[in-house]
Amino acid sequence: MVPAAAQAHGIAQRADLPIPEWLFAWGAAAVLIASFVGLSVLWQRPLLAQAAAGGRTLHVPGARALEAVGGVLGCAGFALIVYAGFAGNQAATANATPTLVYVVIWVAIPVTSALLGDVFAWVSPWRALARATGWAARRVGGGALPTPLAYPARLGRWPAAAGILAFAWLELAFVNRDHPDILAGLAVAYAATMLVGMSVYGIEPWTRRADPFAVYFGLFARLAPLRWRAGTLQLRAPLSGAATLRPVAGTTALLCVGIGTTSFDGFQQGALWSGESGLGGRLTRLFGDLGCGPQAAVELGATAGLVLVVAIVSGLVVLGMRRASTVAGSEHRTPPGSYVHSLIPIALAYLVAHYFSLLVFQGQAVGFLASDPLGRGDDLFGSAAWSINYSVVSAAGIWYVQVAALVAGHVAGLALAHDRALELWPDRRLAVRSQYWMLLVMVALTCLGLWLLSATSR
Amino acid sequence: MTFVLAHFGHWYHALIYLVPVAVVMGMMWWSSRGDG
Repeated sequence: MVPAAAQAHGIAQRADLPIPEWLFAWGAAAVLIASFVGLSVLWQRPLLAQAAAGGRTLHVPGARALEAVGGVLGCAGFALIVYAGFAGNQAATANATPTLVYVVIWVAIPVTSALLGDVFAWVSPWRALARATGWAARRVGGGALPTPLAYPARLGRWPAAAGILAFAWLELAFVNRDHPDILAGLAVAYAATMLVGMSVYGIEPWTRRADPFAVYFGLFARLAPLRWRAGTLQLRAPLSGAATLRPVAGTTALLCVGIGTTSFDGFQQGALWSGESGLGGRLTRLFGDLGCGPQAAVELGATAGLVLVVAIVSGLVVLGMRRASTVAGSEHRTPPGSYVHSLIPIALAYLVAHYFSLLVFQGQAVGFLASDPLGRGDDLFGSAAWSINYSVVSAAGIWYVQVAALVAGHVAGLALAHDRALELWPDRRLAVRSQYWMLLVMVALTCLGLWLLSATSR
Repeated sequence: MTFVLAHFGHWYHALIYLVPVAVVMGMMWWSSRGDG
């Protein structure tokens, strides 16, 4: 009855799926509940904090040269983004800048970070420039540089949260989001802000807390089984790096912004937002009626939607984490922010689920854009005639990846929260009971993610 | 404000996705009986 009724209301199913999409959500929820029970029974003592410190450490020969290579690569990529943006063809699909910003930096780097470790720290152009400048200044000046100011502890990761929200606004609400010259100008402004920040507060403190991309992608790198540090490579259990995250101010906000803005991206592509009488059109008309011009009305409408979805997701997450800090009938309380690290795999899952198709399709554009980055008809590497092959993965294939990413991310989140609860609660039964609310939030976020993806227009 | 049928359909569709959330809430309620 239900799917037939739903289809009668115009909801198309992906033709080659054996069961309706909502049944995948039920299945995903069942997997989460089964995983919760499995964790409660089989995972009886905290393991991850110890695992993060352990593991094999290998010495990497030529580590400094490798660091320099990463810095040079990053600076070259940054120069290409800026030069192609200003000097190249201003058509978004012909110019390399929009693809480099929205596909390579925003999607490929975080996904790679979760597999291989902190890639962005390796290639960050402003960090490389700042380190090179510091090195040169010490050589020329012949002594130590002035000590930077102490980074204010109360700021925590808030600058990073604000920066990621601003980037998401650029991507999802700004009408001229894919104008290469605007992106190039913003890239220069971003780099200048980072260089000023690093010169005032020091390169590493600023990179660890305030550089939005470095901080956000660095969180994903904590899930990786590899950690690069001072000429060594540490092999550790996957996820264990997340267990050592310090929940400083703004960390929850940063992850909620990550999950919320990605959710809004999915929502915006669905019929509920963009359909004939969807919310997007209504908000645009509302702001138009209030006297805004056409572009401002669209941007304000999308901004309102973005803020609304981030607020809903944040409310859900904060509710779950607050309720997980107490258990009825026990006086024990766990500190605020104890479970924030469990949001990292969820943010990654949302990112993979929402941007997988962008990565596999638009990611192929890197092939021909490399030969003709300015869109002027060049053919530097002989690949300018390549095109995007849309048959590499089917709609059903994309859906399976999305479901698998969301389920795996939320199960990983449950495992991280469960491990932390075992550390913080004196009794295993209380630890498990404290996690009921986390389970509820994980199931809600999984279903929300799958609902948003199932409603995506196609 | 008027809703066309398709949009009702989509919101209605959302309820199907809320069933697992309701199931977990029910399980939580059931497990907390007797906590006073």
